[in-house]
Amino acid sequence: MAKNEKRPSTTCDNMEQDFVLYYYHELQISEQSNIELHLKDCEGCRLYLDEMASILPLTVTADEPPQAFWDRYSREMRQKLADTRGKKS
Amino acid sequence: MNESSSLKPGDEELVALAQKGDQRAFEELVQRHQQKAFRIAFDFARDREEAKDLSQEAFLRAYTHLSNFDGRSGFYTWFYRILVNVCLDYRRRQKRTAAEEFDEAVENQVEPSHPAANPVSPDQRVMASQLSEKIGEALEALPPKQRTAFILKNHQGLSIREIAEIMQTAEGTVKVHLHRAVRALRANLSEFA
Repeated sequence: MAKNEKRPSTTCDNMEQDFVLYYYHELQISEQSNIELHLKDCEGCRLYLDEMASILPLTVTADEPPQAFWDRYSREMRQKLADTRGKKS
Repeated sequence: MNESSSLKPGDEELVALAQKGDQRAFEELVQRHQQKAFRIAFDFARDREEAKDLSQEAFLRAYTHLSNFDGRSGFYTWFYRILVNVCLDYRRRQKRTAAEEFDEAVENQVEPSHPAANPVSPDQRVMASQLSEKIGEALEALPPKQRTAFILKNHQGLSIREIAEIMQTAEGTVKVHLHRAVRALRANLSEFA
């Protein structure tokens, strides 16, 4: 496999989870400020965050079915609900 | 999360009506949540028809067990917990089927049809399909709880608190699952950064 054998960058000790939470905006404001302060001076962690920000969106595979699919979805769903009600009664 | 307005009844009102036998009320709940439910199921199955069937199965289970809904959590949380369980059951079945198919193929000396067990040389693939395949494999390799936390956060944008409610676990545990999932995905996908 003709791969670019790039090694993932690393963060400073024990900061990886905080970066994950920072990326997802799940830190308290004070924790967020600490991370931002650290990022100003740490190129390795900036690289880590950039890499994470470029990889994670790639994992989202959106499927946007056409209206015909949703029409069929609703028809099937109504039928399945009716069948379930039939079994119940 | 609750899309109700002053004109529209909230989810919990619709559940109360459905519990009293109002079929239209439950159909309204389905209508309201079907797209999001489909997207979550698609994240697990990565197949449109499977995602349709899984999300519909979750609605049917919710309908059948509607009397168990006691309003302690929102309908959304309760329903998405059912949906995630349906999706995880599906993943377990898939793994079993793939293993059985592989055993059978070895016995019969034919190639298994499951894509994960039938790799095509990456040299024959364009970059896009290579990436898609690699992402599929990387997600597939995640343990169920890590995958669930990751999908609900990264793909669906739920908060840690909401994910914890759906997974019926502590917020700290969700953070650990999420962190481990991201670390594993980065390790597997860093060549595409």
